Amino acid sequence: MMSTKSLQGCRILYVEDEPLIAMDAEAMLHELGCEEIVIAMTFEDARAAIQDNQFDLAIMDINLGGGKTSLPLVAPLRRAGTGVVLASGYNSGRPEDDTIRLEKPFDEEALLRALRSALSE
Amino acid sequence: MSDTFSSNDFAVVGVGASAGGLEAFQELIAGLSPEQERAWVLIQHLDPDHQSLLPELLARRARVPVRLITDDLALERGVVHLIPPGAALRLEGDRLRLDSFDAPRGLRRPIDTFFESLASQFGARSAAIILSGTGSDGSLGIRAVKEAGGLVFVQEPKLARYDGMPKSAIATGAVDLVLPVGDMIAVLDEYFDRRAGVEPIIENDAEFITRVTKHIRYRTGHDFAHYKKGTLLRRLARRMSVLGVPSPTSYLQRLITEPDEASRLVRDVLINVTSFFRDPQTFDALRRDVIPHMVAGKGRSDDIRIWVPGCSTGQEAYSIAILIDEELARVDARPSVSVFATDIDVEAIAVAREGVYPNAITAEVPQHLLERHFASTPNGFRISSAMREMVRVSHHNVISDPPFSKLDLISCRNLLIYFDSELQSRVLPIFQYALRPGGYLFLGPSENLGDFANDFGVVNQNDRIFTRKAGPSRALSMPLYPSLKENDTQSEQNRNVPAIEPANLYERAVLARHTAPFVVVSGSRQIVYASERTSRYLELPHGLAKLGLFEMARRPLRAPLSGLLASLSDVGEIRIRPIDLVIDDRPVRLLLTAERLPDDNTLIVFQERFDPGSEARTTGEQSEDGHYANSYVHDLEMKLDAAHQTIRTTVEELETSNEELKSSNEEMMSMNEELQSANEELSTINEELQIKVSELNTLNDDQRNLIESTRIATIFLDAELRIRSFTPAIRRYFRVVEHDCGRPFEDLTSELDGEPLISLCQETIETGQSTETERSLRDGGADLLVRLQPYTSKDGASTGVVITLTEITELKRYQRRLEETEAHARLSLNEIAELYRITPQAKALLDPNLLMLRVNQRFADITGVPVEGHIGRNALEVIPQLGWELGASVREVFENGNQRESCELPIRLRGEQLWWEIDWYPVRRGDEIYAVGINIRDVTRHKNMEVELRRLMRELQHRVKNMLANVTALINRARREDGDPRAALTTLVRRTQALAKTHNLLTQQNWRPSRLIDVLSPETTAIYGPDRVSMRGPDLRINARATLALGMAVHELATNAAKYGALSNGTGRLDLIWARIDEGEGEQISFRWSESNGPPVERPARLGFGSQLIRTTIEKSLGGRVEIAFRESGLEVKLWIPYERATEEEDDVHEELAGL
Repeated sequence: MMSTKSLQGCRILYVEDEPLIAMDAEAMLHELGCEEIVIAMTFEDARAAIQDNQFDLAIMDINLGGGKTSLPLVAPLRRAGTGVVLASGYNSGRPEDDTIRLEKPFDEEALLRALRSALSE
Repeated sequence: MSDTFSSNDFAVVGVGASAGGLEAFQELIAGLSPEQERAWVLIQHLDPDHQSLLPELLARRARVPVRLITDDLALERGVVHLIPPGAALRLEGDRLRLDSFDAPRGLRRPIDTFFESLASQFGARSAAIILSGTGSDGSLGIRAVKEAGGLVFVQEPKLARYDGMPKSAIATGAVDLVLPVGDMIAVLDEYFDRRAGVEPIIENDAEFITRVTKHIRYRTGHDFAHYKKGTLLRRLARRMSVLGVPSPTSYLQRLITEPDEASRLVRDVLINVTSFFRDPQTFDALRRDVIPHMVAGKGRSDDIRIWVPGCSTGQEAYSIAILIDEELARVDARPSVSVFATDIDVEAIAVAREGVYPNAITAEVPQHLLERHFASTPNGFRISSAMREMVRVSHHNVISDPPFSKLDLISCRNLLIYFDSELQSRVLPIFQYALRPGGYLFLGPSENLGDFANDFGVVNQNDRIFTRKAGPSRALSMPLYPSLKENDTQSEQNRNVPAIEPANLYERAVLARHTAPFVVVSGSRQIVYASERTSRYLELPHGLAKLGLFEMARRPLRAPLSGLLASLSDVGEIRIRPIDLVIDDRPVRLLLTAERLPDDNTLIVFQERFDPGSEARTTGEQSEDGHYANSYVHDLEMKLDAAHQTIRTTVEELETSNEELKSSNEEMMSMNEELQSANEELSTINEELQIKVSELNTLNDDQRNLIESTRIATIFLDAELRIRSFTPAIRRYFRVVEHDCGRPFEDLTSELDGEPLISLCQETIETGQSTETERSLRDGGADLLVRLQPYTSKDGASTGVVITLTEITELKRYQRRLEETEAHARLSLNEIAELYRITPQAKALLDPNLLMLRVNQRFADITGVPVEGHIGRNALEVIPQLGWELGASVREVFENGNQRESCELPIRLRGEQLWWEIDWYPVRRGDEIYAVGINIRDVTRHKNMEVELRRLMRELQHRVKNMLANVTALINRARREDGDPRAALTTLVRRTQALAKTHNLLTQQNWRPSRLIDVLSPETTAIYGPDRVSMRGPDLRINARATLALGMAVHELATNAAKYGALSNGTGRLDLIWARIDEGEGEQISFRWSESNGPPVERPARLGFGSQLIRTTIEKSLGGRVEIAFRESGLEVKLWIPYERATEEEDDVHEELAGL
């Protein structure tokens, strides 16, 4: 099992339009030892963050409200070598899609497992 | 006429028959193979007034087509052509022509007529067959066929039902083969096969012809060297084919080994139909050298007597008569002329008597003679009556019948060639005997006198004209006359004069040459035997032949003989009487001796005395009773003169009546022939009728069996409605027994219900129409169909009624059942139609080609075409939207018969997207699927609702999960809170409730923008009232995101104010002010939360969760700005939110996310 140390020093992008959830997740990531966390609550903010920074991992809620989704961001992130975790309240998924999923609501353990998977890709 | 013989041309076979011919025809025709290539023509004597059944009867036996001849019908190979009744048939080229008969019935000779035209048109390619019949029709025709090179067959007379015609044909000598009918076809086939081969072989064999002619000359004396080679060739080929000897070598062999063959061939070569002035230069010689001498010096009282034996059809006799008549006219003399034309062929004689010849004789008779001696008739040329009277035609056998006598001319041409030398040596003495000295004998070009040349002088050797030398007539060794053979003297003669044995040779020699001539007479003075050399004393009298002694004795001998015989009385008595008389102009003393023989016959010996001694002795004897004798002689001479006168008169009278008798005899013969032919016709009809009757019997049996086997009750009524007959089955419905036949139908007791049938019967007879009526039995046991049909005879006349009764009880029952079923079916059909009408489904019925059989209104509503506009149209054409799917499914159902249900299909119809649910189901008729039904239900609404529902479910799930995530986040927050866990839980509960309130609001608005005031008031004015909380700003509507963000911010601020701020005491105030502003950064909503009059405010050491939440939501989520100021008077929080972000209507992305 990978130690939490491996998450230390990781630059993480967290994209979530729900403020309460975003704040909670940020707290969890801090607790997991992540130091550099960028929170984006809109599609535009997320896109801007990707352009300006290099992330090791990205956790993105799919539905960003306002009719926007985070899916168009997956490919650019991958190209930049970022491990991607998609979070969603929907419990179904396309089997052929190998993107790592995180089902909302999630706890620390689920978050950690998803992040590790994404990192080991 | 076709002379050459080639296998390419078809041959024509004429078949003639009369009585008994039907049977022979049938046998002949049955043997004909369909492959044979000859044309057949059947000629039968038919009753002109009677429709012949011949075609029908023959066609039944034949494997080849049998055709009744119509005028101008073309002969066809492989076909049997039949003569129709009442018409004469002839050929014109290859066309069959029908003529009406000119001759009266009985004299008609259709077979001869046809054969003659067959011979002239088809020559060597013709064949003639004579079958059973009486009379002699055909006998002339076969000679014509034979002469033309055709083949002649005759049915074996023993096997023919009537042998008259065959025998007559055989007698002509023109017949090639006599055969049973059954063998004819095979022989004919062989003959024609060979014939085609033989001719070319011998044609190029000059040596063969030479050898044959040489041999013939050697055998018969006939020299064919000067004959036309072509004719000879054809005759030879013919003969060889008939014999079946196709090789020249073997035929020569045969000529040498079989003596008869040479004469057969000669006959074949010379056979000819006699013609007028045959060999014209010979007749010229006759006219020039003979006739003037014959006529010279003949006066009115003189006779010219001419005999034409073997006259055939009389042309030669008439030719001579014409020449004589011409000569008489020239010298203006009128002796009486008798031309005796005789023949053994009665047919030929009949023609000669008739004296009518075909138009073809214009080629033979010079024009001036034709005009003078013939009259043109529709039938041909008729000899003038003057010539006809001159010529006496009679039946006579030159060999066996007594000859004519004192003749001036005998014309016997081409008869001797048929005789062998023995016969010739019998005939020539007869001619010598019959001719008067100086009379002429006229023979055929190849005929000679042979041994008797010394008896005749030569007038013209080239033309074979001879003259009888003076001198005694030769003794005739005539066989006994036929009339004698038949009366009782025959036995007499046989007893008395036994046949001369060879042992008696010497006696015969003595008797013949060294004794006096003698005769033996019977008691009735008939000559029963005569020695040689009696002709000096006896001669055959003129007229009917008689053998009486006194008739035959020369006139001067009659009286002495009479006296001599009268004086004899006893047996053994001998009387001698000398007499003087003049014989052949010389005085003769004759010693007549008579002796009564023991058998009652009398011998008379004639002894002539020339020696002076005997003369003296007789003179002496005479002187003994001279005076008496002289006066007696004188007396006798007187009597004799008177008797002579009487006899002459009598003889003349007799001759006259004899002529009359002759002509009536001819008439009688004609009548006889007429009767005979009528008889033949009758027997033909009789045969036909017999066959017909036996067929009818069979048919009757068939019919009876049919009627009885059908068991259909039938009753036949005649025109008076009396019972004619009935079938046994009728007894069930009428009380009728066998002897009721003939009783009126009305009298019958009927078991039928309803009015009697009698009026219907009358109606049927009157109208001629059949009627049907249904009746029941009185006891109700059965239903019946009664049919009344007019009974019609063959000509269509109604002569009665046929009533048939058919039981239809079962039928009626089935009919009723059928009607019920039909009503039921109609009801079902109505139900179906109704169902189609009211069902909410669109329905259609398609055949295997997708053609629509039935649709309902709903279906029409879909397609926009009227209901009736669909029927028979292709479904794809009407609803192309269903396209491939429809066709494939229909075919699938037709193939496997499985129903297909509730198949949903998206359809675009008239710009509208619809969902259809479709059923396909097979519609069977018996085991067969004859149509496929389609139900279409429009499920668009259900489908849309379902989609919406699914969307809602997903939405709900999303929101619930989101809410749970929010709650989880709040719980985590509380977990991280230091201090009193109870306080933390209270905070958590409150936050959760605030969240729920905001959600309530959003749900009420259906997540549409909500009024800002509604977001603010639950946490503020609703709790603290307008006295402490004021709100001021425009009525704005903000979207869900802004609602949630502001809702949480207000909750945190209100909670903080209640705990530490203006709302924690009883005096503090809260003012909420908002506005839409634009300060150069775009339109914004500015919102200010300002507290006053509360407890003193202290800046907190650490940023609390509330501030953190406000910042996060306003800044991060809405892109706004937050200013928080801790003033002395109270907390003041200012928010700026981009107007756009807070109010824009958010697109629904859930659909897109549904699959994630």
